[in-house]
Amino acid sequence: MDILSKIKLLGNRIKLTPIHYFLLVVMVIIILSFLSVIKLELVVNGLIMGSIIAMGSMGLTLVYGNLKFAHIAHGDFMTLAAYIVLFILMVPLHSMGLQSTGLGPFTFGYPLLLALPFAVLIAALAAITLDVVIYRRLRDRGSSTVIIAMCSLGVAIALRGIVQVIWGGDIEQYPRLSKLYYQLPMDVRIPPDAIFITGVALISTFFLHLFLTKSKIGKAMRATADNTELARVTGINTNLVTMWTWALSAGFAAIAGVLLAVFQAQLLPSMGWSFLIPLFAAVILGGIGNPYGAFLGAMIVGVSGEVSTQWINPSYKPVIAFAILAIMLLMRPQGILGGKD
Amino acid sequence: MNLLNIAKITAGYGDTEILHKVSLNIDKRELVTVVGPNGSGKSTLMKTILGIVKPTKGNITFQGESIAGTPTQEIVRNGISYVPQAYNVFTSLSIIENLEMGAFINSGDPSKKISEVLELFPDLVDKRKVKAGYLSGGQRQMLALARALMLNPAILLLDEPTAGLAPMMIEAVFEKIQLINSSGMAILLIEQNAREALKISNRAYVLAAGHNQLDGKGKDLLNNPEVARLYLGG
Amino acid sequence: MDILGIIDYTVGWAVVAGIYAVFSLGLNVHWGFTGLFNIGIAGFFAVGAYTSALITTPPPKEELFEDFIFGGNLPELLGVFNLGIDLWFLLAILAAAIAAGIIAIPIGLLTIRLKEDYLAITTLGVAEAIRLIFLNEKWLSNGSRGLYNIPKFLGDWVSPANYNYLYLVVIFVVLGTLYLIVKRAINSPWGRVLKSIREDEMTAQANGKNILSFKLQAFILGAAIMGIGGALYAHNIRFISPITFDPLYATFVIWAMLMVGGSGNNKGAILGAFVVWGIWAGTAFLPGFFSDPSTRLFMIGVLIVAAILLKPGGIMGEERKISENKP
Repeated sequence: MDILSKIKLLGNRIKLTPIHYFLLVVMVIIILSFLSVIKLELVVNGLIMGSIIAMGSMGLTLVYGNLKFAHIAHGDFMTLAAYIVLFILMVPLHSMGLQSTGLGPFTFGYPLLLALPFAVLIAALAAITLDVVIYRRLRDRGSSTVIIAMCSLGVAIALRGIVQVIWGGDIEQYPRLSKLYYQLPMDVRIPPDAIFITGVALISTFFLHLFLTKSKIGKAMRATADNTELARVTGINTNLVTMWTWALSAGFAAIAGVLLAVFQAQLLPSMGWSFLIPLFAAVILGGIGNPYGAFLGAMIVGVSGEVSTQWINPSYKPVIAFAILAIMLLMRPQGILGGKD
Repeated sequence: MNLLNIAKITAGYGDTEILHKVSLNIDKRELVTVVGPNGSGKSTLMKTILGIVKPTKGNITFQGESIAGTPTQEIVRNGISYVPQAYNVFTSLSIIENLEMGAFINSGDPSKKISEVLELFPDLVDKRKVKAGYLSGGQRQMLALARALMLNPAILLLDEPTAGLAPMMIEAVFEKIQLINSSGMAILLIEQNAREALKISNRAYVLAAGHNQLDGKGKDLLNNPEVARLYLGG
Repeated sequence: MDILGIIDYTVGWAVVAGIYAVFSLGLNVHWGFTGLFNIGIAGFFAVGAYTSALITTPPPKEELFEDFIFGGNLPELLGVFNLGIDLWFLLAILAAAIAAGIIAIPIGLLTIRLKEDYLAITTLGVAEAIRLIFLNEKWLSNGSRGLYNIPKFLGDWVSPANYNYLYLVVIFVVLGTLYLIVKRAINSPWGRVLKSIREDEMTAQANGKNILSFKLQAFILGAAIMGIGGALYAHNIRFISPITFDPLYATFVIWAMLMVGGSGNNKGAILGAFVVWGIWAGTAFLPGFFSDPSTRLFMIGVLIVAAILLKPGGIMGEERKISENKP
């Protein structure tokens, strides 16, 4: 896809920075909505959806970049965490009398905020355990990344099975207080929890950025994704890096799952699995192993999906993400931001 | 007692044997070069020392202790540093970050050591924050060397450090290598630019088809017509 | 304990296991012989089932369909039932195979060039797209209402009570035929090229073989087999809708079967189908939550993980080259 490379070259020549690209895109979107070519509301909702996808895709790309395999169970980690929060809300917190909802402008109550860190922790521990028990053994054996991916398919199925055994297949919901949508200018309506969702996503991304650029283990993670063999030979503790990669990845997936459950106001055992295509589309778009790319890719996938409903049957939204995925894989597998092989 | 002693090592990948009963040793402060045609197993030898390839026969001792079968990270921790031939810097990390990674094994603040090491490589100093991927070939090679020095290794293993470099850079790299050696560090060098390497070496080995062929003092091998004909090119 | 009842149940079980064996065979062509990590089996399953159903099923009653065009005309249009003793069945199976094979062409062109794990995700997306099409394009498939009254092959020959015995024979005949076809294909010069591609793609390419073309052909073959499985399935349960092709029943369980039985090995694929379906049916008799379908979901997942961890070749497996100590 030389168009993109040509754009990049041109951009480099006139010294365009990411900020310039961003402002350009924003301008184009505003113009298009003024001309009624696209509805701004869809773009905004797409960004909210994109925030949720981003939480998932950033974690997914970390694992893909460091451990070099497609973690098919990632979606089901989202599901598991969402249900763990449901459990914490309904059982221990409920019995402690902490049942309030409608915190500030949001539909959920502060108990959700109490439950969330636990789900993150449990997800991280579960991921590390699965790595030690399963994936590390396959790596030591020299199994190809396809076999490891296949194994993660088994893990995905098993995780969903656990969720279904414990909670059954019916739709569940976090205790919530119905709130009105917010009316914003330019005919834009956003759901009440939108600010929470995008806020959490932005804060988490910022935290990840700090972690990767300022902490020793974060830099080691970047180094390992960059060149695994060199990392080992340099003396980097690759087992430690692997552990942290899983912890971050699962932790972010956990947050994504809870955000999704809040946004959709429902939980289903298949919620994470259905999210896999948008997640992978975002990862490939942004370049495997690049969390910033995964964030950008997530926004693109989210917005494209929502905007497409102007012209296509909304039931086909998942196909849009898939189309993006397929096109990227065929034309530019290294993604928009990926520059290396 | 040698600093590093490789005794009759047989090693390879899967079913393919690359090294056949290869022996080599190196003492403190020595600069030892391994020369030989492509495919003779030189790189494999270094990878075996580092524990990336496990030997099926023979033994490797470092500072008197056997290290065959020890995990790579421990070998690095014990004092052997390695610079691979290609892809030897983290291209998406800055020079400083690359050096920090070199010191990963140590806890504590690496900044002092970084300054020390950068004194040896003044060209890298004003580019410290630049991502390694944007450096020239020669600068990358210098960075790769610098990274390996961060842990004050007892032995430095260098795999073809001048490969693909312009003649001026080649000279600069050899100078650096000598400088590092003169500060007391033992260096095991693999080189295609055999002539130049032999000039600065205490001793050298000739490896071909995974077997020891010859060894001796650097100057002797340089002046040996057989060696010159077979391995040093025209 | 009614002996006849037990035999009846077993025969019914064997019919389904046999149908799954067909799928497992198809997947073996994809994964075992060509190295294609296809997790979109449900797509070919659905295409085969719907194709077969559409050309044989009389149109549903007025109240039961909306905008449904096809079934209203197709069996009549094609004169499918004019062919003499239920030969429509052969036509239906063939049509299912061809439809699945044709669909495999664009999908294959899209995915085969991709690295294996990209292929997996893409096939997942394709299967989902197919499901959505069957769900939303009501004129094509009657949407979520599905297709009823899919006819029985040779339904008039035996009483409904004994029909399963007859269908079991049918299944075995089809399975046996497909087994021989695949065996022939694998041992042919074509099959040998495929094997050489699987073992060393670069050398095969250097020898001038058009890798993509061979892989695509194998992809089509496997898809066609899966399409046949879909047709057999449709004429067994006689009602299909998009929900029928749930990933658990239409993709995951087949992967478990292949991994357990032995990928790269046709007999293993068939054996795996019977073993896993045996475990599936067996757990239905266990007390309490063991017979819960959700538990079986969990069990399938564990089976796949265990098969890979403990016995990567499966029960009868040809050990796929897993480990390569790369220099």
